[in-house]
Amino acid sequence: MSLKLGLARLVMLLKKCFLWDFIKGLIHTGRQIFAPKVTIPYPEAQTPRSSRFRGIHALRRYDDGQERCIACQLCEAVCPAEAITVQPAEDSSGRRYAEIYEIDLFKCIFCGFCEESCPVDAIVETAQPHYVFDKRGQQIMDKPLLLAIGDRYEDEIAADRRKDQ
Amino acid sequence: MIGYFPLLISVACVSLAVLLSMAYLTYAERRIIGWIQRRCGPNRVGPFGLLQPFSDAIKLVFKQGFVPSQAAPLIYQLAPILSFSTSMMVWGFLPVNSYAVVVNSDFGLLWVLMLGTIGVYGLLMAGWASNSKYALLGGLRTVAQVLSYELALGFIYLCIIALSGSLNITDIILVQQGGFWHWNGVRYFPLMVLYVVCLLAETNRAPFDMAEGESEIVAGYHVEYGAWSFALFFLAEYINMIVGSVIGAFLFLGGYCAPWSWGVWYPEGLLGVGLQIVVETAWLAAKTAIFLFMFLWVRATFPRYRYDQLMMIGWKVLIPLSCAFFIFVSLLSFQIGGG
Repeated sequence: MSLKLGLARLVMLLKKCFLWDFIKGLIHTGRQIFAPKVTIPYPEAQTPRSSRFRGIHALRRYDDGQERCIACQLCEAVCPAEAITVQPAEDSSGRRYAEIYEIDLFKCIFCGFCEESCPVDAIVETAQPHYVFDKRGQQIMDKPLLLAIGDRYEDEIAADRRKDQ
Repeated sequence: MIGYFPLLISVACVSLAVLLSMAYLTYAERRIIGWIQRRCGPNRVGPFGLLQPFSDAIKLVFKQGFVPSQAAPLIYQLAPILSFSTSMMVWGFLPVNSYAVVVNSDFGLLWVLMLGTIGVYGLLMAGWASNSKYALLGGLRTVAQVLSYELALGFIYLCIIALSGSLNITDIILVQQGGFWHWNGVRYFPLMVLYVVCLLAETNRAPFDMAEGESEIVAGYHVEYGAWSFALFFLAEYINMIVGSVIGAFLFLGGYCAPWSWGVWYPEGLLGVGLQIVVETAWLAAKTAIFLFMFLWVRATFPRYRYDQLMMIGWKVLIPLSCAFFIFVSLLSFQIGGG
């Protein structure tokens, strides 16, 4: 047996006797106590979200308050989950609008195709991830609700869209 | 009857203190392991999450208790009670300070060893009475493990007994008083390391928590327990941890004695007695906390051993080592005594 090998074995033996590897592990974990925590205290702080996050849907209006949606039904056609229902109608001035505009959130897969297909940027997916239903039936969002969400988050929606241009 | 009054008071005080420290041990465990894993741990219930143990206890008490239909009902119900009551009984023999020892027995250390062994029967009974494969395997593992490590632990106790010439725990402490250089843990440091390893195995704590290896046998002996009967097992496990740490402090860190000899002076009268009780208990608590922190630190660091590895460490490493240490110590004390 060469001297080098013997020495290596001796070092191994000494390390074993003095529990060297255990001490090394303990020191490593002991240091972590003082390391900054990675936990995000959820309701007070939230994980960062992309401006492209696809959350709850909304219908937008023009600056003068007119609904953007012209009931072209492109979103209904493109929706892979068939979650969107649009019933077009015409008002007295001959402008098309959606008489019924419903999204079934149980069917929706949040792919964002509706937003991409929309020629007038009416239907959008906001970056809002927090929404709950506590009764069956609430998952179907009708037009007034979608418009209300759009009104509430318009500034945010517009800012997010500007970032992508 | 009136003669028993001081005894009753000390029993009540010790029980309350033990249960309270057990509650905060679970809190400390979750907090410290959280920190080591760079999390916060429980910090919502009360300031800094300090009321968390109480919310857990209330939850457990209000759960429905049940007995599995194929279980042996009497033994099933008795097992957690046995396990908990033995872990509480040990406290009668532990001198928390110069004044508060409920039973100052000349065989204190033997009593402690004996009660610790009886506590294992609780786990075995639970494992058998549950009529579940996992529980039975867990119970058997616990018994085999605890019996193997008790041999090494016995040798370690023998070393200390040979060094201090007494089985009385108060005597063992008083031999070490007068400064930290008199402590057994400082003079015979390897013995303390052996004790800590044995203690981890004795209390079924990580990395030797074979008895409840979640990945293999779900939760071991208490798989079929819920609600208050589970809480009793939980209490017993954590109280056993504290007991082991307190005994570690008695045997190796000089118990309730201050780590230096100068300035240890108390005024005459009741005030002095009160002061002494508070200071000595605080020293004991601090020394116990070192051991308890070790438990948590080790748990957060090392993965669980395999069962054959556990047995190998027990029989091929710890028992020969502690036996050799006992021979060494007996020769040493023979020389001290005879020379």
